[in-house]
Amino acid sequence: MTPTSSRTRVLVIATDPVVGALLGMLLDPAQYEPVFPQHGERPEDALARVRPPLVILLDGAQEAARSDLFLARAQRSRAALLLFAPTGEAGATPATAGTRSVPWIALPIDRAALSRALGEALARAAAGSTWSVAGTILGGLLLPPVVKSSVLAAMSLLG
Amino acid sequence: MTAGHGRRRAPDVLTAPRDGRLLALPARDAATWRPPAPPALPRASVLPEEPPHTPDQPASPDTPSPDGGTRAPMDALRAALAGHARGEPISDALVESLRRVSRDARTRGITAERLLIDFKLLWYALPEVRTLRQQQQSDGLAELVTLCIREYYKPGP
Repeated sequence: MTPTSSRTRVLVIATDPVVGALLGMLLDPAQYEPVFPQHGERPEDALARVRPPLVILLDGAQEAARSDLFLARAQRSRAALLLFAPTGEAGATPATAGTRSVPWIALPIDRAALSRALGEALARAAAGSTWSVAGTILGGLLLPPVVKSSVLAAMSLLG
Repeated sequence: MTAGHGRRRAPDVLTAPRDGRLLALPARDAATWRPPAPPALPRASVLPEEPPHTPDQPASPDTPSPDGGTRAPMDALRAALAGHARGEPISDALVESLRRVSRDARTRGITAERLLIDFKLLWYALPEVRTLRQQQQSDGLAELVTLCIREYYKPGP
């Protein structure tokens, strides 16, 4: 049995429990430990409880991907995010991922490709290239582009 | 067991338990040897308990199991997994059973974590899987999961 402490905890968030379980089984057991929200637990609460270095949002969890609260908490905890979407229904995911600057990947996927994607997401987070919470929040507001860019610049100065 | 009891000892018999190692059992023990019983599952599981066998009244596919679920999805899943372990292609029955497990799990509030444990218990308990080496068991499961995800997301007719 692989020691838990040596593995990276991955929070898997999915609306469909079967999809979540399948993806959890696809994680390389030598490297990753899948963790899931408890029954009825909100994604942001699971994030606060587990504090994982990596979060996988499956197609059914698009609401979490669009949640400013969730993304703000993920950013604060420096967790890497990765969105997954089925190949045939990937339309909404790239749009969400593009707005948030979150990497996404299409399902189905094999274990090797999944490990590569997780490794890249972790490396991306470690390098400080995270998603844009501010940009997304502002993106949803009807503000002139000049105002948005000014606010974003001010927020970036504030760190 | 030691020699010197005044009569010839029966030859040992090699038998293969679930971990693939050969054990030498005395012949009189080998005839009655059975694999150890699987561990008891927590009740919040989609795995149904085995009902009493009643050959005259076969269970309906939707007969509720004692823990409130239906036997059919997990039975169908077990059969489909065994078929895959024997090299058979993924069947529509497997995908349909996964969808039914999903509906059942959502209705009863069963988490993905519990399902993951149940799926693994099903897989590693299969006789077809027990005969494989550990790495083969793990690789076979990963391959099966990829196929399941692909079929699960395949658009319907």
